[in-house]
Amino acid sequence: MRRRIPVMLAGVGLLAVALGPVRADASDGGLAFVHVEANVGGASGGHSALRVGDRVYHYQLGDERLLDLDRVDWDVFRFRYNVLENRPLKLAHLDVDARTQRTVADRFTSVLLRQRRERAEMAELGRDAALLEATLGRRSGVPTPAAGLFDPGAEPPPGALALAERLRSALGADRIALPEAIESTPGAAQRYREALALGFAVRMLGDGRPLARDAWVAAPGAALDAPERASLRALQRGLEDAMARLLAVRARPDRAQPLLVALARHRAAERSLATGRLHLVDPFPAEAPSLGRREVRKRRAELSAVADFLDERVRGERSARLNGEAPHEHDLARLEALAARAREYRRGAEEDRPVREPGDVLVPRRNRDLAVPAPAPPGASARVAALREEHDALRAARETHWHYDLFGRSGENCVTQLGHTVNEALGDPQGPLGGRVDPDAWLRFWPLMFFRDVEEQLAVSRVEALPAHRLRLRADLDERDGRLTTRLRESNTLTSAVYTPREPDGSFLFFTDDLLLPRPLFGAVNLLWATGDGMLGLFTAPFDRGARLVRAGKGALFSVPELFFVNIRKGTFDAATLPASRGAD
Amino acid sequence: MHLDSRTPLAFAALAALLLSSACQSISDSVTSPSRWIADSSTALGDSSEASADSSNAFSKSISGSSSPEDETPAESAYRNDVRVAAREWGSAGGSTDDFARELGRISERHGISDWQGQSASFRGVAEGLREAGLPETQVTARIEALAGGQAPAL
Repeated sequence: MRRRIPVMLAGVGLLAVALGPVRADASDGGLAFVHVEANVGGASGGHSALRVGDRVYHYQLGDERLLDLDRVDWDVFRFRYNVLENRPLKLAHLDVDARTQRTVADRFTSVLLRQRRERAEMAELGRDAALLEATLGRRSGVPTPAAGLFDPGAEPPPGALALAERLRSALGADRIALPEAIESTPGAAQRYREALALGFAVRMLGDGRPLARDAWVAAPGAALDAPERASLRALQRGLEDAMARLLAVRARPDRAQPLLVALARHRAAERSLATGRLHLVDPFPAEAPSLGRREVRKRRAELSAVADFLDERVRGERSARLNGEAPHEHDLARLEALAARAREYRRGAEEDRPVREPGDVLVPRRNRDLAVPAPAPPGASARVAALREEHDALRAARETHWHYDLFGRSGENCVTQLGHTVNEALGDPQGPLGGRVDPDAWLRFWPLMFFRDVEEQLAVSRVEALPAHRLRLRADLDERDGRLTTRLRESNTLTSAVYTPREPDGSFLFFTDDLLLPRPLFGAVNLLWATGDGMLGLFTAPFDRGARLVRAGKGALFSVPELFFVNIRKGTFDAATLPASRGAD
Repeated sequence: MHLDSRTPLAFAALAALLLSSACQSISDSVTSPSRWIADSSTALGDSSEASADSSNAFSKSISGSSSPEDETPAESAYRNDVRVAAREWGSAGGSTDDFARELGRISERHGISDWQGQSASFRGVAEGLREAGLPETQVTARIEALAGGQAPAL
């Protein structure tokens, strides 16, 4: 009879178990090229990254097929690729001095900031165009970050007018006059938008307007205790100081957003103190990317498991950060994001509704279209067209630099771009890495070939191999229980205790990532298994919308390489299928 | 042991299938709720040592009392990004307003909306400008402009 490891998402325990002992050396200095082996899903040909200290830099395929640089903590990277995606990792460590490490990290940081700046400039141009379109009556207003946190038509909540009174002198000092017209000088549209946003913020504060109905989240956990109440009061005092400063000191042109965010947090703290339950600002934009109902239904168990985990984290963060003193802003931001995501997943799992799934949102940016009182400036239509052209030119420039173009003239992908960035950082071909890898050489866009070059061309001090998560779990089982029956049980997807079949993995019966000579034979069985599943899928298609057919097709596709001794598919995990204990049965 | 390193012919046959997907798509990760198990634990440099006394530091004395040795990992990561941006500002030039907006974008990625309230912002700017080779008078002047005329001592 099949026995399965119980799934227990018990707070950070799961993460600690999943990452295991490798977490201990995460603070290693130096550089390491990381080779991520193949598996089904994205990057089925493998992936490459560079670890610098505790951080990992890697390019990913983003919008419009552009290569976007990503920077994550090593633990996060490893959890995603080595645990969830169950891919073996190899690290080629290079012992370099601190100066070299900093030079490389600075170069990647510079690229990261540049890419973000490019995207931000395009977004600003889009908002400038929206401003002018609003004056032409083509849209209702101009999208303004954080303005959507408030309801400008609702009555003041308790304490709001008292706050306005306390800040009356600062408010009076900065009653800015909105320009009557939008000038045609460079940057005028942006300055007008900033003034419009600041005017809105001043009104929300001065008129005591409340948070919008859906702009806050009630955090899980017990009623507020004394230290939490003290923290919230200290937070409010700090926010009042910050608001007074933002109103009085005009050095920051975009200060409307921090002002609105500070006010929103003040309102949330006020509500918390009044109700005795912790309320936080919901930082997710209403228009965030989302998982649709169908996807939510398929991933209900996963969403529920992650929500359990995040709830636990919120409780932990509450006791750690609201300890009697004001929390640091980034800790508060993290608490808000955790609580919002937990609620989002919980609602999706329990109420069968779409789930907002934004990336790393920390500071609330909920947009609202603000009406534009200025008349259309002369030549507004032509200016909109010019802004669109400028926007397109920026996009074209981005494509020139970052386009994924594997089979084109530049031949760039995430691997070659990584190599180029390292080389740009260090310059000297025989520099501190002891050699040089040429990302433009034949087949070096292939992660495996690139990593081989790293091993052969650079002064690699050691190569560290991290087996895939399932194989680590299985090795633990072997160590504790070397019985043949256990090994047989873990050889296939039907009886394995450490692996639960997932739809993205496709239909297959035998694992082949830990086999060599029998791989073609097992691959043939997997192919037959997927074919049979596909035939069954023909009958079930009207009822499951072809899901079984798709799974079978994927299973057959990734069985073919196994006939040639090549393993790609290794199985994957998610929060609902991740065993909480290493190898217990 | 993996045979894939010993069978170049088989790999060549599969290259067309694999190479087109040799990059991870951001959308794959964005639609993976499970990834937040790790991200939520370690994001922002796992600022487990972050202390409340670093909040709203603008209103406190920032006359060197909060040296980098006092920084949490999260603050250090933030200051480092600011340093790199400020170095480029010092080298390439640009208006104070534009750099202030850039600081707004950088700080937002670190969970900070009010960068003027963080002493790490001004430390990072000072470091970056010095690395760009600006004389101390200009470093002070630029920081004063960013702070709105209230020059924070560094």
